[in-house]
Amino acid sequence: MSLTHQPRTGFFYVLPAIVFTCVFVLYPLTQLFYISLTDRTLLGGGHYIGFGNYTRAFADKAFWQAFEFTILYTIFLTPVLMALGFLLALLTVRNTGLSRFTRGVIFLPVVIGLASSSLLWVWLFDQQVGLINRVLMDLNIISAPWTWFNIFSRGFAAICFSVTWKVVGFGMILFVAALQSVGRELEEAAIIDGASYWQRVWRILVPLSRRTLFLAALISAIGSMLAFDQFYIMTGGGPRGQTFTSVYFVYQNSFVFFKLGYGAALSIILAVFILIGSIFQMWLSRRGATA
Amino acid sequence: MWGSGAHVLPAGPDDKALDGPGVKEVLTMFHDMWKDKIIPESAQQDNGTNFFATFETGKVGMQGSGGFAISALKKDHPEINFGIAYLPGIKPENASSFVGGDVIAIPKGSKHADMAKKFIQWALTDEAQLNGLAKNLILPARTDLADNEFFKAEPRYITTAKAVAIGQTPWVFHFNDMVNADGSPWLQMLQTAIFDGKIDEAIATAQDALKTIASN
Repeated sequence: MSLTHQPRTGFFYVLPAIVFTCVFVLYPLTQLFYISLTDRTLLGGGHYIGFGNYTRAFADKAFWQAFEFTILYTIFLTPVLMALGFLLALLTVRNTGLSRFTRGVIFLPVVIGLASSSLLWVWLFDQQVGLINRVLMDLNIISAPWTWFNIFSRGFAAICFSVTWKVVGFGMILFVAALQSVGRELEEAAIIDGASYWQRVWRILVPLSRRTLFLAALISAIGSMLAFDQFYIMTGGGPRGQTFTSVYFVYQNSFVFFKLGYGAALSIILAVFILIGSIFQMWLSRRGATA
Repeated sequence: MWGSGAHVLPAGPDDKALDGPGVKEVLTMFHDMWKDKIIPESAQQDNGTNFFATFETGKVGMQGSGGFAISALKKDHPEINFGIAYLPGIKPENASSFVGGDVIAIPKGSKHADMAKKFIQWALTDEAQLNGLAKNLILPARTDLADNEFFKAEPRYITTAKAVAIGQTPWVFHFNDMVNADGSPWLQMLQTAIFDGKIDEAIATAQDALKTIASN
């Protein structure tokens, strides 16, 4: 077979993936961009208005307030998930029966939907019948049941706690795989040299798990930037509209206010910011690897 | 607020918002109730979805509700002894109600507008209003049929049906954005005024937000 046949053969092998990407990614993205250039409503219709929606979005204080809150949420939650996930991975890295069982228990919430998890936690945090208040009162931490979602700090803490419970298992599993791929002889050499446990963790395991750490941080950050379910179900954007996220704002404009064109423009702007953040994070990862 | 004569929602950017007697007084009254601890704490984080459920507990003395509440309470909570009154205003002679929920509309560009109009005309006949609605303990839209044979066994239905005559329907294009949406200016005004006590600030912020929405 001549060499010129191979590229063509290779093309046919990747053709299904190309078709899938075109149909389920490129076409919807193009359609979304087109809609963002119109004043289309959820009931149909609409005319071409150029970049009118984008101009409006850049002047929309409510959108930037939601974006700012989303950034705050991402910056706060991502390190928490990474640190806790890594610590849990250290705890369960050995392949003993107890470690495997613990990993399973911690990973279990990952498989349920975020909406289901949020419905569970909104009742656990309920002021009248919630288990959280009952436990806190029995431990004398609070004297009367708290209303969790009427004060920003309490509502934010409740959501971060519930999301951490739900997703930390995913990071843990990634880090366990990374830690188990580190050669045992490196650790043994460090033990012989007199390194303590935490010195081995900080100077051997963390550097060698850097790629996985960056990958997990990227996935976590993107997930946090796209947060919606937990805020929709648990806080409804409250109190006083302080917990509206970017995606919640897009949803509100598109499906509650019926402004599909404007919602599409907001989605594109959000996607661009997430893309820039991801590129920066990947550049940091490559820079760290070559340092 | 309506009962007191206030104009609540702006129809356009030049229309007034939260204007007139009753706006500040009603919010102040509710804030005083909150300070006196006669509003459930759970109301702080309720966006309205649980308003009837709290009355069903039998621990709430007074609740704004709709005509549906009569049959629901009689069926599910016969132990609750309840009465019906119009929503009051700030003066003893003031009263109002909310008229709405189920509406009929003919969309612009409808291909069968004439047929739709005929249906609406039939829906307003005695036959439809009485045998279709009142017989099933649903409020008739026609106020002249409020006092009908089907409601005689339950006078509370007659009171509720007569409220249609003094009630109002919010007639603004962006009602959903202004009132029903999560974090709407209306909801934020209620929460800030009633629970935080910042009544003037809440009204001023809501007025600006409502007019911004009305101008879209």
